[in-house]
Amino acid sequence: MTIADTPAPPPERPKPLPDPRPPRLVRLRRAVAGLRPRLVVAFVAVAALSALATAVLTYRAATTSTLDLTKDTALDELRRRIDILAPALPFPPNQSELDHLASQLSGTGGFRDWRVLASYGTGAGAEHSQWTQPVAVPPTLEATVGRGHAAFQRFTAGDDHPWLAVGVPVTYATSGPAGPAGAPSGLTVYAVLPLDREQSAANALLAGAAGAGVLVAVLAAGLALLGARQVLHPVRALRDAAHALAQGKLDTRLTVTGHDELAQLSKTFNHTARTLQGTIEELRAIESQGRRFAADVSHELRTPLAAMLAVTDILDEDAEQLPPDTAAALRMVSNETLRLTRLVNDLIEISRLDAGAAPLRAESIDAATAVRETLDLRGWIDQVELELPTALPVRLDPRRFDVVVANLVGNALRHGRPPVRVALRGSDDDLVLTVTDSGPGIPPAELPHLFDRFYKADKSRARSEGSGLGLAIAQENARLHGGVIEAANSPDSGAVFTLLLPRGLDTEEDQ
Amino acid sequence: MTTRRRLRLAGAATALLLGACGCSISTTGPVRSGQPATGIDPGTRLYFLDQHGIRLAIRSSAHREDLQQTLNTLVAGPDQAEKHSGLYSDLPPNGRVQATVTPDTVTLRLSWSAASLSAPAIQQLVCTAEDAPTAGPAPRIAIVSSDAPSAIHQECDLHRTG
Repeated sequence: MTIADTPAPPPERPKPLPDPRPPRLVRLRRAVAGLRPRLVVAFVAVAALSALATAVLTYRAATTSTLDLTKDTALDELRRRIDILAPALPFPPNQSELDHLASQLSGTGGFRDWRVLASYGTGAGAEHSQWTQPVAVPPTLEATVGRGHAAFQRFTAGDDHPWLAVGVPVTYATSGPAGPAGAPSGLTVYAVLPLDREQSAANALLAGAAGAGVLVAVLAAGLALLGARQVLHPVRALRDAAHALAQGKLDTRLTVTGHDELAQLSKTFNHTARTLQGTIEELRAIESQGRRFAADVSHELRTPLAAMLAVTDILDEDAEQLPPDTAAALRMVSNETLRLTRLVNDLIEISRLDAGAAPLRAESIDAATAVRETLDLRGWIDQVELELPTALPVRLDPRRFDVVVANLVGNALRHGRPPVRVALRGSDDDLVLTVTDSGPGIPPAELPHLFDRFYKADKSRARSEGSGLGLAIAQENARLHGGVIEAANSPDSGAVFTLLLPRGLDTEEDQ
Repeated sequence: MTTRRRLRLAGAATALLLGACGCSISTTGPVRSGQPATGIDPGTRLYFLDQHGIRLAIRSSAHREDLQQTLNTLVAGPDQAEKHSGLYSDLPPNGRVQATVTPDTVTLRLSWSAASLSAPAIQQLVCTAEDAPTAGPAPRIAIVSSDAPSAIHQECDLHRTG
């Protein structure tokens, strides 16, 4: 089977990707989450609603009054003209007389361009004047007027054009055999007129109101932006100041302008910052006082200790000639003096590191060689399993690197069980040194405190050879190089200390 | 979800306002408004004379007499009440008028000679005939008499000016 025969893998069906965008409402809420958009939305909404309400009320009032005026005028005009023309109308009228009346009423000089219908009688036998208009008088209006009431009705006809129909019944002028004066004669007159003029006036009003509403909304948006600016500017300043405070710039203060709530907030912030700064300065002063005291004490102890060391050295040489009890006591004094000297030296070293007075003298060295020399010098070369690369060029302070390696390996030899393994590896940028012992490991509760000063993992051992400062000094030295030491337990039991240092090769070219 | 509720509320308010607006002229049912017109005086319309000239007298009735009856009544002259109010007729009391209706014209055939009638008397005839009920559109009046066999077209001066 050749490669060509290999069946092509089935084409991967593209998975339906979940829509990465959040739902519409969530997006909307995010968009208006800020104070500025919220203010703008609120202002514009209020302005638009009030403009709309004003427009609606104005529109209704204006339209109603216009329509009422038209209706009243039409009714009055029709009534007035009928009052004039009715006495000349032969009654009961025939078709031609009704036509004549209607044409007299709607002819030239009619009210606007109304069309008049004169009607006599009711029901099937009713007579109407000629009516050629496309718009018919609404039957409901005819029914009302037929009952003897003057009435009007607005209706739409054709392409939704508004029309007004008014109807007036005509009564007898005098009492007679036909009926008493004021009784309906059966003659009714209707006038129908278009309301297009009122409609266009109303539309113009509405358009004007809409324009005003848009203008008001734009103005409101502008006002909202202005207001938001006035509110947001101090808020942003406050945020930046709080940020600066969090970054340790304790002298951050806000300029307080005005007397509003935001100004009071700024004042409170300034007060808080001032208090915080005072407290922290106090704490720092106490701490530095303590450190200076330790440094001073160490310095003061160094000279007498040097003398004591010299004396114990001499006495050690003569110890064999002394009685055994005295010799044992002497050796004890000698050992303790040595330990004290080491402790004082460690204290001085850590004081220097704390004070930032420890200079970093970086040199280009081979890390593998440096590790081997450190172990060689202390006679540990046979007690550890070494795993070194042939060469690992680095740039660091050889003395401090020596201190770190010696501390880590010494710690492993003292507290762990053999075999102790020292492995050095290098990546492009970093140097990694791991020191692994085969002891029981470090209790997890003590891992975080391992690098604390005078912290001893084994409480039962009140006294040990170490000063209690070894790991702290090693950590400080690693930090000085921009590195770190981490402690952990290996899965196979046993503590693992890992030193991670930058190789510093990139800075080499600068120097 | 308060945002959704708020949006819905704003939408409802807007819809309500727009609904209240209507935005076109609202229609109504029939609405009563004001008084009826008046002036109708039913009855037979006759034209007599008084000292000022020709005058309309209405014999009140629920119905109008037809054309021929009306002319007969006119020739018969004013009744007591009309005479009392100073009305008189210039038509000779004896004689008759025969009306013939064609679609366009009403022809009045007089039993008198035209020359014996005064101008106001002819106006009495013409105006009364014009006001009398006829089918179809308002006709023209033509007068035929014994001494004038060809028809003379006449119009009521009152109606022409009024």
